[in-house]
Amino acid sequence: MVLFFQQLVNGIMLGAAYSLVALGLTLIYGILHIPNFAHGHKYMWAAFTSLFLVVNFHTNYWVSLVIAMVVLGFVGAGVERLVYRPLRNAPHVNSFIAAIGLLLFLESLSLIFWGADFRRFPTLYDKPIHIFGVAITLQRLLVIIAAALFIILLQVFIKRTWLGATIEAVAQNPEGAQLVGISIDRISSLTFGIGTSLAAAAASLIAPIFLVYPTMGAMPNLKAFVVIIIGGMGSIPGAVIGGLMLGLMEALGGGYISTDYKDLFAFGALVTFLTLRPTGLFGKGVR
Amino acid sequence: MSRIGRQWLILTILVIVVIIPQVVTNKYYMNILIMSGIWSIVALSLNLILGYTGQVNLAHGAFFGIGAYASALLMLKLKMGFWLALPFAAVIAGFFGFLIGLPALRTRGSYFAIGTLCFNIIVTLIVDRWEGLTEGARGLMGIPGPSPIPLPWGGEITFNTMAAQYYLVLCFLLLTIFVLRRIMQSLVGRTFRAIRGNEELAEAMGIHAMRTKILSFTVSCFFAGIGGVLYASYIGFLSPEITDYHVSFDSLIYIMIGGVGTIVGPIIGTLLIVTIPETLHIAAEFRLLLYGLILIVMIIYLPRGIVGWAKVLMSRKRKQEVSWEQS
Amino acid sequence: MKSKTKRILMGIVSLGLFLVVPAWGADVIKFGYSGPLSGGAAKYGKNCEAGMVMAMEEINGKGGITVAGKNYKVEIVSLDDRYKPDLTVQNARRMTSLDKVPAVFCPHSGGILAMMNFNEKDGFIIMGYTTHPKTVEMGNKLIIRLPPDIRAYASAFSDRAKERGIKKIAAIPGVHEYAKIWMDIFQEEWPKRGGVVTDVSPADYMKETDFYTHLTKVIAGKPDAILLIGASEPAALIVKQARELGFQGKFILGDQAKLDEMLKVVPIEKLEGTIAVTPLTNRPIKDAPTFGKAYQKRFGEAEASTFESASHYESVYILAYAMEIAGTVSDVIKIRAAIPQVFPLEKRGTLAPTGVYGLRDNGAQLRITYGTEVIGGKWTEPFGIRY
Repeated sequence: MVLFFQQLVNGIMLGAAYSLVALGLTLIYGILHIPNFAHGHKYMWAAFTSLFLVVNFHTNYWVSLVIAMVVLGFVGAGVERLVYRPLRNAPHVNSFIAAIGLLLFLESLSLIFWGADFRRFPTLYDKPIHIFGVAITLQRLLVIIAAALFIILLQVFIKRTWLGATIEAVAQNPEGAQLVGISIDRISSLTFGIGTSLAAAAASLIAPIFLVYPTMGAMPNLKAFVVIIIGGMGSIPGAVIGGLMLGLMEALGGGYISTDYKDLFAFGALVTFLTLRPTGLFGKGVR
Repeated sequence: MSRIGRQWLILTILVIVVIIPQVVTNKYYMNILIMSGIWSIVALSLNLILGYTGQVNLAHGAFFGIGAYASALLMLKLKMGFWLALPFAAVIAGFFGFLIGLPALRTRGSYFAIGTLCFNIIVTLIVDRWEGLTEGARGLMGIPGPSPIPLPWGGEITFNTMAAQYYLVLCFLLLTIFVLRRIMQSLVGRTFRAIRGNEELAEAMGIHAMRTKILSFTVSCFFAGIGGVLYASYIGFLSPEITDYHVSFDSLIYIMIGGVGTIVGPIIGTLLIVTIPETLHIAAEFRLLLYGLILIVMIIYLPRGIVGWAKVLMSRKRKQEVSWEQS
Repeated sequence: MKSKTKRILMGIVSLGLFLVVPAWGADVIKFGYSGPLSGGAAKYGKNCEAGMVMAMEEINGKGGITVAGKNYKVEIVSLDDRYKPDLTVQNARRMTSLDKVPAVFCPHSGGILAMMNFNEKDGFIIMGYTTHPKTVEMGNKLIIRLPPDIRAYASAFSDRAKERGIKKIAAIPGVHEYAKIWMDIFQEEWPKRGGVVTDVSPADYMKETDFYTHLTKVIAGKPDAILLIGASEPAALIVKQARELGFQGKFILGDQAKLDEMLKVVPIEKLEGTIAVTPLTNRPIKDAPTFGKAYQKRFGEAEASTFESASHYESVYILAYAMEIAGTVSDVIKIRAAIPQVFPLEKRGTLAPTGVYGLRDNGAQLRITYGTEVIGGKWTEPFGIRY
């Protein structure tokens, strides 16, 4: 029984991590309809940024997290401006290809800058606590709590603030929004910035649990996409539920069926959803 | 360029290409040409989907790998000869293409891209973990090259020299070009273009989009499989990473730089990317950095690639000449 | 037509680019290296290269080598193959055609096996750093395999584990080919000592970072020890996470995981009871610490010398001396035949930091290697493993 609970907790933590990364992605997709395929690599850069600050400048962990969020927020906005905006009216394929180029660029830049080494993120929160025979470190608990916090904050932001409403307006009807005087350009940059910031937060929270290295973004990237396809592109509750589902599937499937084929569950799930219900659980429609 | 001029050009290129092994004996250069040939076949087959139906298929590496592994396993475990294994393996690749295309092609755009990418990952995972079948990460070695072909008047064609392997790859490349051109020129090709232009409108006019898409997907995978078989026989060793989606990414880069939607584009793209970094000795990390940058710049400013740009220049020039004549 | 002429000119220029053959100085021997210099395995690839470079610099610093009365400097031609066998083939062809190297070093089995397809035909020696058994089983007469046999470690560690009263071992091996071979061999050796393998839960050491799922599963079987086969940093993570989950038992580390590298990630208290390969600098091989210090002097304090770099270092010397003995820099058959006469390296005034002392007919290098345990928060005296 303890085994089951342990796997359950593992699954929730994994799920929280995936959700957090997917949140930013789904926000960007919902508004801009661009699948930001390079999302995972910005996540990786955020992890390195935090690591750099903590190790070289001995910044407080939470401060470095905030700084990483801000820096990556600007990077995100910049990427939108330089790479995706010129392609706004081009066929969809082109944005995807540009994202692939961006991915290669970010990964190689990281390799050149930081080298191929696997680095450890020093943390204060790696003492385990035992609840009902289940062990979990404080950092992991933090991921779960932080993910929940960000989700709530994001929902509040979208539904209750003026800026959030503007973003939703642009998502639902770009031409109409323009008619009312909303600057699509500014909202696009802003949304991209926020989405990337969320990924940065995820990275800084998760990095101390794992190692930091240039190719660390590839898998979270893919899994984040799996999450938003399962949950529905553009849906925040979808990202959360999808993330949890994925995390649990991996932990329980891996624990009870086979760790060899663990990743298969994730991608198999994606393929199933694509076939049977492409819009996902809460999706707002194709495209 | 006039038709006659174009035909002369093609003839000249063909002659050069056929003569090369007699002139270039350096094994290293021959190796580059052979590998370029193989990757060109792969890129061209991807172009069928990307260039003509406008969908980004990221599972291409999987089919290349399936073709390679299928032929290797047929030859090593069932002791099949090369010339039998080749079509079998290509058909297997095409068949998997058909199976995967059925669900995947019901989606579009980003969904299609991500879905195919996930298929690719699943295939790589299975090839890696199903050791009983594929030897997994240990890899398959000792894959035989093409067996000699007996000639009716005695003697045989052997494939032990690099020149012979070059000609083999060249033949298949020409075959690929020929078949793809025929497809594009036929009704099927025009259907593709109609779909790419506007799928709903095409459907309204009675074009069976789904059937055509599946057909093009299957053919594309078939040729990717051929590329895989040639690769397996030439290198003689296979490991699961050749099914990896990086092959898909590479093919994508070759096509985009060379020129999507053209026959010559992918070939030029492949040649450039395979040869230039070798001659320039650029450090590997910088290479990938450059590819990423070039891909971004090209997709924004030169989405039709080098060949596309050349065509635009030429047609502009022709318009200029025409307008001068008229003035 | 202007555009047509332009096109022909461009064709000629590009063809010309192809045919540019650099002119090389006459008194240089070149050894080739094709390995992963970028990407995930870059550190490993650069490590191997570093050993070669150090040997080269030392040789040249002493004035080079003299073969058949002529003096030669050594040069290393190093190309990235990103761990892809087809690029290894491409690099090997380049190095043998353009640089005329008599030997190509490669640190991954994919590249080595791919080259084995044509190295005898094209006449070059493959210096392969891989534990893949097939490399010396295929009858290729021009292959040298550098690392020691996995079976040496597997049997020695099994013996030691039995001595320590370990009966049940669970394993978390990597999914890469080296790990699979290690696992296979261990599954043959451990039962011979009356032990039992309770669980095997493969994990991708390169891509995964959360091993909780594997550990939970494996720990449920209450093993006395967990066998880890993979790279150092991920292995260290697994140890860390295992302790977090409350695992109190011991660890057995496949030789890819280096204790000294793991200590950068996990403190030694967590490794209590571990049986592993001795860090290079701790081996009672006379030359190991000397090599270690020289390595750090050359490459910086932060770099630890490894088995890989040491082995490549030795092998460059082995080749150079073989050439001197054989009296030729290009007849690879003679050079290969001369290699057994090179040993012992110490006789020639060269460091042998991995303790290599011979060569089997099938190309496998012979050496004594050492294992170590962690007891009471410290490394124990190394125990010798002869194979």
